[in-house]
Amino acid sequence: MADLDDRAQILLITGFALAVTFVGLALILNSVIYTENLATRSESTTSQAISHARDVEAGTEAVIEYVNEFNTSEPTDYVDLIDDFDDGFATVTGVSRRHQLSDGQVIDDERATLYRGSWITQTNASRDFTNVSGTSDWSPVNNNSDGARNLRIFVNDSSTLVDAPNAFTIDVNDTAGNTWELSIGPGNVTVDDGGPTLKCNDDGSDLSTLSSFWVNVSQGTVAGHECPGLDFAADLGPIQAVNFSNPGNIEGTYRFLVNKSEGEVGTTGDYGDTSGPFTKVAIFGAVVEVDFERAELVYRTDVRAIPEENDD
Amino acid sequence: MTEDRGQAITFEYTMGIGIAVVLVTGLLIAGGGFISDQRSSAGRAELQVIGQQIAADVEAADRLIASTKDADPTVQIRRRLPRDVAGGHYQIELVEAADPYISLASTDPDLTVSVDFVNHTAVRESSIAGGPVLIEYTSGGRLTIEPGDPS
Repeated sequence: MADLDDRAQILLITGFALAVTFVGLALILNSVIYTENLATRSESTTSQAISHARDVEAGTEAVIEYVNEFNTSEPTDYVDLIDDFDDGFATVTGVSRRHQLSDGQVIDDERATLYRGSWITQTNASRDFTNVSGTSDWSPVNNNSDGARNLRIFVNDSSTLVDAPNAFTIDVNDTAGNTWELSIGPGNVTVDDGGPTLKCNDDGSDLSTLSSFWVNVSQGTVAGHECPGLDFAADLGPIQAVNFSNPGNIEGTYRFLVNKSEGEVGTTGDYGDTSGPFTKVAIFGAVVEVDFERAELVYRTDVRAIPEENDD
Repeated sequence: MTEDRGQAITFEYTMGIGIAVVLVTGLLIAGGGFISDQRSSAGRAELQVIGQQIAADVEAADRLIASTKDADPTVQIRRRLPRDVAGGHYQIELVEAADPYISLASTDPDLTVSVDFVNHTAVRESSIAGGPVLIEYTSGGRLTIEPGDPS
């Protein structure tokens, strides 16, 4: 007679084998669920790195503009000016470093390059725009620059202005030979960049009613009113030369910043003391090495901080 | 009566064993097949997830490179990935083509998964084993994947 106690053993062993197999499957499925869950927690760190680089660029440009505009120490050489810049830059990076550390990022930004520039300035409002020697047509910047900006002109006496073709004209060109011209005549400010001539008027009225007015080329305003399309050297590459034509037909002040060291700008005899056109040390721009790191990301890049270069 | 039962018992025992064997074999074959299918499905899902994570990191590196005018920035992105998928090792390959993509292949189970991504920066053909990965922008101006730091 069969032993009834033995008949279920095969089924029991089979059941045990299947149970072990299903437990293994559960472990595999568990790892899949874990992987998919982790995937949904991923954070994008690129936006923080990119925004930090943009912040450093903007902060450095602000320091450059401040140091150039508010030189209370009136440095005569670049050493003091660069010290002022380094102090400001250290403040900017110090604030960024503390802010980023609180979020788990480490930054180490450094100044890599500094572009020494010069202010080309005339502050004597009773003088025309000739050079120190009184030469009629002259070049404040002689084909050796790599950029210029911040042009503004103050016409002190409108009665000195003359109509074209003898109107006072500033023309600039880049290394490719592209040119941009600004002419100031009685009652008109015109721009010729190879396209349609742009005319700026004081709110549509005649500029000749004003005895004096500002032409802030970089800001795009004439007599305090916006002139759409007035943009210093628009669509040109880095400005290489700046020329004055008919400088005797205007009286007032002017200034602009050029990317060339003081002493290398213009020709000998063009500049002198503050009674006529003169030069002053300035910082044209800088290159900053941005270093942004966190546990899973390392991002290092050089950022050019030149005010107005990227302002469209 | 006892003589009849002796013959019936043998036949019954044989029948019982035969039926049990058929039943057990059928259960094991069905269960094994089910396990194998589920393992392949789980492995494919996990490779898809891993591939999407790597693609996201490659696109993130691409964005960082595109955001700067510097011709030679340093960009490194690390990602800790599992070394095994569904109990088997796998290979990650960054395929250099007109339309680059990431290919993940495991041998056990035998699976291959492709994941597309959008890029502006060129990529360099590279292949590594599954595990920690490093996506790097090389001095040759290309994105590549390399084995990451195991620590």
